[in-house]
Amino acid sequence: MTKLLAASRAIERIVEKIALAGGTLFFVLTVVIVFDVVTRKFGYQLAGFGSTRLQELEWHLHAAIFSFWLGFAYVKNAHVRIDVVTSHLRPRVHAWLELAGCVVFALPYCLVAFYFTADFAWVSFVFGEASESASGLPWRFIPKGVIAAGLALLLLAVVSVALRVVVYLFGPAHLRSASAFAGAKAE
Amino acid sequence: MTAWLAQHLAILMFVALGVGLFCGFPVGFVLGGIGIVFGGIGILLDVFQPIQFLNYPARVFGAVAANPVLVAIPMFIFMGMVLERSGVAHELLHCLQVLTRRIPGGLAMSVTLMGTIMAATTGIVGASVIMLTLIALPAMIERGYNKELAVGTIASAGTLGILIPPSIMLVVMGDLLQVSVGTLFAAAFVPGFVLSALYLGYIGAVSFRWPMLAPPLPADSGPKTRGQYLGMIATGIFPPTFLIALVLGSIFGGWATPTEAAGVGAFGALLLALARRRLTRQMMRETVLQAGLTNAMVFLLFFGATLFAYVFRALGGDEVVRGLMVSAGLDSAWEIFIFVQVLVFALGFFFDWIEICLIVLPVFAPLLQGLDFSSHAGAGVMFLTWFIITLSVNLQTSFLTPPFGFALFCMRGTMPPQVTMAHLYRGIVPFVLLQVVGLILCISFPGIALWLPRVTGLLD
Repeated sequence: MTKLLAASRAIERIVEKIALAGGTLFFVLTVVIVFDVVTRKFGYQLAGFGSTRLQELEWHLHAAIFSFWLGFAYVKNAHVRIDVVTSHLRPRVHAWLELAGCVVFALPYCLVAFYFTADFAWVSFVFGEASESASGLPWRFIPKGVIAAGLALLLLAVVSVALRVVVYLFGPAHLRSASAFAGAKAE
Repeated sequence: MTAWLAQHLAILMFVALGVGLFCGFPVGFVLGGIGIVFGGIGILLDVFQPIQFLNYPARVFGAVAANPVLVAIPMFIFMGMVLERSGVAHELLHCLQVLTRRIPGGLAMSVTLMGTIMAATTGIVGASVIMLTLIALPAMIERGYNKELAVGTIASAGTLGILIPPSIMLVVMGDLLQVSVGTLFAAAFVPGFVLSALYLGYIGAVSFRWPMLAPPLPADSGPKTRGQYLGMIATGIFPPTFLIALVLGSIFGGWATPTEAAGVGAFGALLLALARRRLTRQMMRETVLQAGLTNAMVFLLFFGATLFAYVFRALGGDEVVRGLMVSAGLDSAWEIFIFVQVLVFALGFFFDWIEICLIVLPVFAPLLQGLDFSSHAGAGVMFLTWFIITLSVNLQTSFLTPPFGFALFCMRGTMPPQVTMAHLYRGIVPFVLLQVVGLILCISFPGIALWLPRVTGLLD
């Protein structure tokens, strides 16, 4: 049980590190947009970085921002839940519901979505797909791969939370507070 | 049995969704999970092919990632978080409060004005209501404000933010129904200010008639000299107001797309924070954390809802919806209009706007896009613009309606113990009535919504 908990924590740390590193992209995206707007106004063009490329870069960054945070948001319990009905239930019932949700909804979704998205990115890589616009960015597999990576991180986060719930439900009493999972209410 | 099951899978998806959502598991996972489960059942019953899942990544990529319109969402969220974390929001409330100290109900009016100006700060009802409660409620109680008036003002001001542009909700609705976001921002402008004016008028009238409900600040508080007075406006009120005006102005003037305006707005907010010497490492870390989590919350819903909607459609959901509407006798334009409005109003008791939009709008979009209201509000984009604005005002009303209203529910956890739900229920009633007035005005006179987009040439 201690090992499960340690594994859960290790996964969490990976997910967190990547999300926080991805957070700097908020600043990058802001700067890219401002740069695009200003240079277009004055008709200036950075060599090799015309407005089409910049605008594609904008949504590439956007894709990276949400992808890198999907999993971390689950670890941090930031995803919306409808808890009108369940808010008065006992913590153990909560834990069972969370485990059921992970097994029935989250794990199958993450597995299937990751499998097909990774395939989608791989095909793009093999065919050397580039932007459909002649003046656009090459390497379309990068944003596609980033989304697949985001789903992999989401899968890791679900595994991490599920492990915590398992320790909480079946582990010894002294690990209970240490295994409080995302969405758990204080006992 | 299997034939019956195969025919009714699309309906059963909604039944399963209803059950799944109320189990308290994250909504995005429930949507995606039900998509997978029903896709799987469909494969077993031979009405869905495994290969159809291949369309899912293409849809997520095309509609969610490679979609320049949606890039506005992280930027507006980021801009709002920077304004909040740098203390600009707090300072704005303080300044407004001092400036309105001689007006009856000044503090309550300040809260409404702040909800109007800082509408962009979050755009998610839950978050904006909680933020306003934390900032304004203690100040109002300390001042000796009537509790009903205080909580009613805060709940209504917090939900105003979803309608008044720049609004993330309008970005999502515009994307789903294929109406330009700039047009929607322009269309929401007048209705938003009409509602804001109704609130302000009500607060003023009540505080004037019963001054003990809203005790004013002592007259000697606030700036003494003219210089201090102007300084306060220059540092506290002018910067955020100017920033929002710049963002909206550049969209209405046709100089920038909403996404570009959002990026420039976020940049402006960072400059404001820098000017206030609040752009510290710590502040940036907190801002990025909050913005990243909120943004991810929004986009997991997009991920889940895209799969749900795709499987639903592949299982023949569109025909099922049309069939149900016809068999219920709902086929004229007005009947469908009213049905969707009532449905959304009911859903607003439990869900924030984003779940409602992502679940309901894709289902009804084909039906809605075909409606002809040319005798009342026009057809095509004209109708959809008016429809989205009425839907937004309707949602706002729903969020405030006791006993379930989503905004009220969100406030519950943040209110100090001396304020109870009973205060909230009593206090919100006049505001709900004002909302209903606003909704009736918007439905009866489409010009309220359509005037500004026409004048600015965004709609013709």
